[in-house]
Order: sequence, then structure tokens, then C-alpha cells
Amino acid sequence: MRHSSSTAVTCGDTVHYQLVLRELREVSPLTQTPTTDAPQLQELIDALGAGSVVTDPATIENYRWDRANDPDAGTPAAVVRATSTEDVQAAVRFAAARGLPVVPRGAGSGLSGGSTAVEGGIVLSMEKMRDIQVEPLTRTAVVQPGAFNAEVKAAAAEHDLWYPPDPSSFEFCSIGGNIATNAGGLCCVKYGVTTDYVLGMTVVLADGRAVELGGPRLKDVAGLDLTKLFVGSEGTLGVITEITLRLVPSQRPPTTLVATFATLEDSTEAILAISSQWRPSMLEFMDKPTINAVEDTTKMGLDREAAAMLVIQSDEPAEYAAKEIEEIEALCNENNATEVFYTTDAEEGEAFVVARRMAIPAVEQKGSILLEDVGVPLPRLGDLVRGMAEISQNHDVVIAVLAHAGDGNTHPLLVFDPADEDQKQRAHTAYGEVMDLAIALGGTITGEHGVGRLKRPWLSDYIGEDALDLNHRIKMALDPHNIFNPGAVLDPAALNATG
Amino acid sequence: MKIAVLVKEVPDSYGERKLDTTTGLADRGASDRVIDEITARAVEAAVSYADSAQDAEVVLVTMGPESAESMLRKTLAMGADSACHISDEALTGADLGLSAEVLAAALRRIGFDLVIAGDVSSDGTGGLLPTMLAQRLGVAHLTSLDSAQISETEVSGERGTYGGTVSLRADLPAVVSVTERMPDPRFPGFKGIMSAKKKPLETLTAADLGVDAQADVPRSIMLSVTQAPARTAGTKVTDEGEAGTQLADYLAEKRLV
Amino acid sequence: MAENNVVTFLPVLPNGELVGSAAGLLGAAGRLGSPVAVIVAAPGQGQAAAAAAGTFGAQRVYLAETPQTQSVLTAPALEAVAAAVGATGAEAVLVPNDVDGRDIAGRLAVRLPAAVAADAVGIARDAEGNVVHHSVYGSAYTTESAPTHGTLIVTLREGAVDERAQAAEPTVETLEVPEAGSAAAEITGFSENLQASTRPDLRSAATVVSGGRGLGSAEGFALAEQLADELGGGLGASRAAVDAGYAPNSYQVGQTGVTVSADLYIALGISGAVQHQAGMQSAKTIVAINKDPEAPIFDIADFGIVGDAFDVVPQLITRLKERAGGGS
Repeated sequence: MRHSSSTAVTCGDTVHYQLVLRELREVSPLTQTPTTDAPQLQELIDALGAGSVVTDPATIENYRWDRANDPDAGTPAAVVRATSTEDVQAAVRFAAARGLPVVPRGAGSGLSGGSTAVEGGIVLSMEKMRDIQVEPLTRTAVVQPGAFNAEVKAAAAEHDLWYPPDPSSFEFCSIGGNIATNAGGLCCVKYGVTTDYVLGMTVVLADGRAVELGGPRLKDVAGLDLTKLFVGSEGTLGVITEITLRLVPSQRPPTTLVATFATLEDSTEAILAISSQWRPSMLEFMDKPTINAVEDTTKMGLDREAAAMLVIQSDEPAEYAAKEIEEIEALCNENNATEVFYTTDAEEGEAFVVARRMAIPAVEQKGSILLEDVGVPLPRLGDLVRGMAEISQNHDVVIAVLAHAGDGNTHPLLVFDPADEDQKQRAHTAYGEVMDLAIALGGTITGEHGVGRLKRPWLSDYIGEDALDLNHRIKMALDPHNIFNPGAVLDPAALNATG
Repeated sequence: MKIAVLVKEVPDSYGERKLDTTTGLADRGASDRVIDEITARAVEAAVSYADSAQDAEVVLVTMGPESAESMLRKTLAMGADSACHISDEALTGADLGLSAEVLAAALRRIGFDLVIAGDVSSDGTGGLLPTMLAQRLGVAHLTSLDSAQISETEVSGERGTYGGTVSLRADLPAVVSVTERMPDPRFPGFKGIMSAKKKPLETLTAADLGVDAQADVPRSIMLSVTQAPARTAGTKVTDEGEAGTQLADYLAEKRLV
Repeated sequence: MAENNVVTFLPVLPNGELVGSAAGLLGAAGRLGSPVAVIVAAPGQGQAAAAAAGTFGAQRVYLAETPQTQSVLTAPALEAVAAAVGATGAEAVLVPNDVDGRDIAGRLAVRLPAAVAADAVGIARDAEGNVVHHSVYGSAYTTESAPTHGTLIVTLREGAVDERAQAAEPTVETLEVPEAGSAAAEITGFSENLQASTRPDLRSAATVVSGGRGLGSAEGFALAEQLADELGGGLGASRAAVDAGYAPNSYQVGQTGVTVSADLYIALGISGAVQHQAGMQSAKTIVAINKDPEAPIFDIADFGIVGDAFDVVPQLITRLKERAGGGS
């Protein structure tokens, strides 16, 4: 049906929101704000060609923000559109020689400010590096970082292969950005996250060298696993210019189940029971505010009184999928599900899943949004959800919760009226408290979006002084002058102290 | 109370739509086949009335190729009770007159108190069928309604016209067509999706309806189809202080203002 | 003599003036033969309209003045047009492709019966008779249609025909319109709309003007609003503009918003990200104004202007007003 088919592709966890973190925590400014004058840039242009170096202010304006839209984004001196590893090396050498910040950028769909531009620096855009080579014999793909996730999936599908990681922004996020943030998605509960599909890469280091790590080999234990070190490093350690990805056989058409529950406890108990005994390929959670927002938008007849709804899929072969789903249905009923439906028809299943895909667009209709990405060990999911309900009450701010429940990764959406300054403040306070809560429950401040610049103030509280120190030492070992994405993930001032 | 809703399967206007330049027929392979969204709004109007009414029955009616059946099944999931699919090779490329004759015959056979259609389809852009049906069925028409109120005995609504809005009403039976301003169609619910495949769906031919597609009556025939040249990069100018004037002249030349 | 009469229905506005499409309708009629105008007006309003029809080239005018125009839908006009067709043996009937015109054409086509051609953008004669031109699938194709035989009824797309007929001194004949039958809807009220409230629905508007973050502020977004109203178009916005609070969510054009089906789409300060293009690239003609020479929107724009919308748009509006004043 037109409207459902068209919205089925707009499941974007692509909330664009503005944060004024400085109201919440003290964040040190950049220690260096270098400036570059034209003659210096001329050397870069000579090295790369005018076509690859952008200095037009109007064009540069497009490279200052990602979807976090950090109000403190700087204006770069130039944007480099690399076309090859050599281009990247030249740009990095140019920047290193002058101590200029280098912010690597994919498609700019990041949600944590990881590719927010730095004043006077260089934005190193990968948008022109989009080659995809699928190797059916090794079931691998060699891709350049600028290719979209959806383009990689499509190229794999031509060989009946599948690249599983499916961030909701898959149609407009780059594979390079996925690697940099170790992106997740809906099928991670069964198929794992980005890093589980990264076999190797070429990465340009701070001194301009390009090193090759790993390759098309499932097993490779020679030396430290440096490949994994760069996955999720958010552009702070080097610039990835080529990736070798693992592909798997195409996914089978899923069997889909939806269940509603009268209490949060029943739903989280059901999630625990299901994920401890079965292995669904999707296990998504929506709470009451989310269900009601979706019902307001879709009029699909969801139970507005339900405290929670689960959307579950099995992609096992038909006979086994039927068994798995029936067992899951039984577990839902044992935990007092008020309603359970399931279908083995893939098209009907997609119509079921629309309820989840519409969640963020529907909640966005309610006001401005702060999007969280906190995750906890599954047994604490109930505590997290209940705790967020309290925070919501204490600050009189709507918190609509949806979650990739199977892996404990939640996306609380804090809704506020941008015109209501007081409510905006309360929302920002609650935003911090949700992360503090996750930490208290032994959880993480970010499951799949990355720390970037927005969540940096909470990093040390979460990982602790020792782990933070380890981060600093690795960063300084690889990038002693902090030219790669300064201000992202790690506090430049603290780094200087380390160095 | 029986409400018949005319629904139509059209090429997805979000994608590339193609005509076969030799037959003049739509190239069905070229793009997804979806329900014309405006007819989905017509279904929404009928189903939301049925939700509130005592014993209202909603029947979907479409004339189209076999592929239209899956569209009918999906639309049944919105809450309609049954569907009637007129599918007949002899009706391929039927003009408005023949389409109206066939649909009117089907509506008489089904029986109705109210017929709801979309005002203009996204592929044919004719907007004539609802009134042609009203004439054939000998009932009143209320076309291009931006809002509609349905009761047991009458239907009323508002439609835009030059410089304002007119309010209309008619006793039932009547034919209504609705515009994009009507409420968004609901998404199919879980119960609806599960029950849709069990709902009655009747398939009819022109012969079943006593219609002779070859009858020697005035018809509109297609003489030629030409593909317009593919969209080129277009003109791109840098404003030297005259671009506004250039644009005005461009728009006037293309009859867009 | 074989005078080829072309009956042309000319709607009359509430203020008694002829509708704007009248000149184009009579121009098209003149192309096929002798333009015969049918005017149905409230008592006392007809003569002025009939005279106006003459200046647009009507050779003859059938005039029906009846209070029913304000109380019964379609029927009075239908009866008048049918009477004119009967009296003149017209070979063709032209009506504007608007809601009233379509209602008349639909009922008349069944009543005569006659072949009907919808949403024509042009009309001509060849050796075998009248040929109608259509522009389909968002102008991706042009088609020609013709009737097998008998009278041809055409709904003509407004503004599609530039041709104008010679002014004439029409003979005006008065028609008595019979009482409408029971099977007609009653008109129970008419309310005049203000410009703002008649701004067309974004989804269906023939012209859409959208503003992006390039407009810089909620105040700046008023520029898009101004142009939209100037062109009688719908008003849209990019996600960036909505997120920045320049425009409400309902204005958002794109993947997570509305998809427009416009003949003309004007993007002001919109870079044209993939997600935005998903909502507007099916528009027939795309115009983009953006400071950034590399904005992706230029890749799909039929007419792109690298410049500041705040310079270009006011000049555009001025020029459009000049042209309108020039009667073109």
C-alpha cells in the first residue's frame, strides 16, 4: 500500500537535535584554534588539484554539521574530497605539517557530532570514494568508505549475498561512518554489529603512512588485532580508506510476531525469557508513549492502553521459524501478553513491522527530540525502562522509549517544545540523568551512535579513569599531536595533560 | 447501509512511470503497482464511517489487471468487508466511456447506498469517472469534496471552487469523490491484516456484467504516444543581478505562471 | 454551410466576471471552428459576462440566467450546454478542466453519448477531424487522442493554450433552463476564502515553493511564503528548515515527509539531499536557487540559479507582476 510501502523505508533513527551541553557540563575548548591562510592552502590545491579542494564558503557551509547539528560547529579552512588513498595521505601530511585538525567525514548522518567541523581545520570527505567490489568466492566485499550502507547491501544482493548491519539510516549513511562508529541496527540481536563483519582495512596514519590491516581471512591472529582498534574509533586514530567486509548468504523471508503487554514488567520478563531461549532476528520494544504516537500517525488500531509492544522476527527456514515463533508466542502468553499476532507471510510481516518503523517519525510529530542511545545488560532492561519513567515524571518531560530490546540497546526519545525554554532545560537535564542511570545499571551511554562530541562529558563516568587513561595513551601513541578529529570522544585538554 | 468504494491500482508516482510507445498502454513492469493514494483516502472515509455506524458494509470495487488483486487484499486489511475485481483482457485500454459502463454495471449488481471515489487518479488525471457513474446510475454527484459527512439518509460536504468553498448535500443514493485534503488513510492493523485473506473477493468479466466492449459507440482512441526527451541537466545561471527576471521569463515561456 | 460550431462552457465568478481560463478556451475553440460560448449566471450577471465572451472571440453566446446556479450543482450548466449542443449540432464541446467543468463533461458524455478527452493541453484538426494533445506521467510523455465518431467533449487544462481568438460581436441568445431533476446535489452555502486559507494542499498543489536552511531564519522563511502565495502555490520546507524551526513539521517535503506531485517546484536555499529529492524529484519542472554552486539540487533542476534567494525572488515577483500587468 502506497503509504505503508513509502514509509517502510523511512525508519530513520535520524533525529536531528540541538544540544547545549555546555549548560550541563564544563567542556574545555580546543587547545589549538589554528588558522590557515590562502598561500598555505595553495600547496594543498597544487597537490590534489582544485577539483578536490573546496574553499567556496557557501559549499564549506554544508560540511560543518552532521545530523547532531552541534551549535558549536566550527568553520573549516577547506574541505578535501579525496578520490584515493594517496589523496588522503597528501591531505593528512599537509595538515600534520601545520598542526591542522582533520575531521574525516562520510555522509554526515552521524547522530553524536562525530563529524562536526573544527574551526580552521580540514574536513576530509570520503563522498567520492565509493567503489564496491564483491568477491563471491571469499564471500567478501572490498569497499571504499564513501559508499552508502544500502549500496553495499545492494551490491552483495546481486550475488545472493547479504551485508547484515542495518542502521535505520542505511539508505543515507556511509559504510565508512558505520565502521567509524561500529554501527548497529535491528538485526544485530542475531547477526551482530559492524565490527563482526570487518575483516580488514587500509588506514592512513597521522604521519601520512597508509597501512593495511587484516584482509579477506576469517581467521587471523598475527599480532594485536589493530583492525578492531580502528572500528568504532570515530576518526580519532586514522582515516580508513578501504574496508574488507564479510558477507553472508541472503536472509530468508521472516516470520513476524507482535505482542502487547499491560505492564512493563511483563514485557521485559518476556524479552528475557525469549532471548535466553531463542534467537530471533529482530526483537524490538515500544513503550506506551511510543505506541500512542504511532497510533496517532497510523490509526492502525494499536492498543493505546498497552504498556509495551514487542515486534519479533524469525528468519529461520520455514518449518523451524514456525516452531520458534510458536514457542515465542507461548513465552509472551506465559508473561501475560494481552494480544499476540503472527504471520509467516513476508509482506504481511512488513506491514506488522511498520508499527516499529514509524516510531521515530511519529514521535517527531510531538515536538523537538533528544535521542538517547543507552544500553544495559538485558536483566537490567526493566530497571532502565522503569527508571526512565521516573525521570520522565520528575522533570515533566515525555520520554518515549523504543529499543532494540534483544540486545538491551534503547533509544529513549525526550520530547520537548522548543518554544518552552523551561521545558527545554528540563529535557536537557533528563538527557544527562538517563545516561547517569544507564551507567548506574552497569550499562553504556551509547550502544551504536558513538560518543562524538555530544556524549563526551559522560565518557569518563562510564568507562572510568583507568580505561580513559588507556584511551588517551593509545590516542597519543597513534596521533601524538591530536590532529585527527580533535574534540571528538576525548577531551583535548585531558589529552594534552597525558601527552 | 452499503458503501461501494472505487479503488485503483496505479504505477507508483514516486518511481519512474513508463508507457509502451507502440501499444500506448502502461508498462506495468516499469514501476511498482500501488493503490492510488487518493482512493485509499476514499476507503478511509468509508471505513471510518462504518466504524461508527450500526450496520454499514464497505465493498471495494476495482477494474484492472490480475495484479490488482493483491492491492485489493491489502486494502481489505484497512477494514473493508469484501471486494469486487473486474478483470478482463477485453477491457485492456478501455476509455472513460467503457470504464464507466463497466463500473456502473458492477455497482448495480453489487447494490449501493453510497459510492465513494477519488476525484482524480494519479495516472489518468481525468477526474470524470465519478460524474459519469452518477449519470449512468441516475443519482446525484458530490465531487471533489475536501470534507464529507455521511449519515443514514444523506451525504454532505465542502468543495473548493473559484474564490471560495461551496457546501453541498444530497439524499442517498449518491456518488461522492474526495480530494487529497480528506484525512490520511489508516495503516492496516494487525487484526485487519490477518483477516484480509479470508474476506470474499469476487472476480468478474465484462460478459458477466453484460457489457460488450466492442459495441459501436463513440469511443476515445489513442493515436500516438511520444516519450518526452529525458530530463537534461537543465539551465544553470549565476546571478549577475538579472537572474530573477530570467527566471520569470523562463516560467512564463514554459507556461508555469 | 458547414459551419463547425464549438460549444465552450465559460464559468462565471461570484463577482460576475468570466473565469480566467475563458480566453484560452475560446482561443482553442477558434482553432477548431466557430466559438459558441455558454454562460450560466445568476440573474442580472449574464449580459456583462456575455459581452466579455465576445472580446475573447465568442461568435455566439447562449446565456442562461437562473438563481439555480447558486442552489443546484451542475444541472443548470449541464442543461444549458446540452441545449446549446442540440441547437448548434456542435462537433466539439470544450470545458475547463476544473471541478465544475469535469462534472459537466462527465454527465454530458454519458448523456449524448460522446467520446470524452480529459486534461487536454492542446487541440487541433487533421484530415479526419479533431485531435487532442495530452501530457501524461508528469510530462514524461505526450499522447494524441481522437474520437471514433460523433461529438468530442474536451476538458482543457487551464493555462495550456496561449492562442487567442479575434474579438467578435456575438449574437446573444437566451436559454430557458428546465428545473433540475431530483438527482442533483443541492448547494447549501458558499463561503469566500482568504488567500492564506486557500493555499493549496502541499501534496496536490500544481506549484510548490519550498524553503530550506539557506533562508537563514524563520523570518527569512517568509520569503518562500511570499512567493508561494504570489504563485498561488503550496508551501513546503526541507527537513533542515523544519528542524531549525523555520516551518512546522507538516511542511516537510522528503523521505520522512510529504511527497509532492507538482508541475512546478521551486526550491529556495535547499541543498537537495537524497532524502529531500525523494519527495520532489517527480515534479515536472524543478527550479533551484542556492548560493552553493555545488548544491545537489542543481543536478536535477531544470533551471538553477547560483545566487541569493533574497536578491532573486523579489526581482522575480516584480517581473511576474509586470508580465501580469502586461496582460500576457
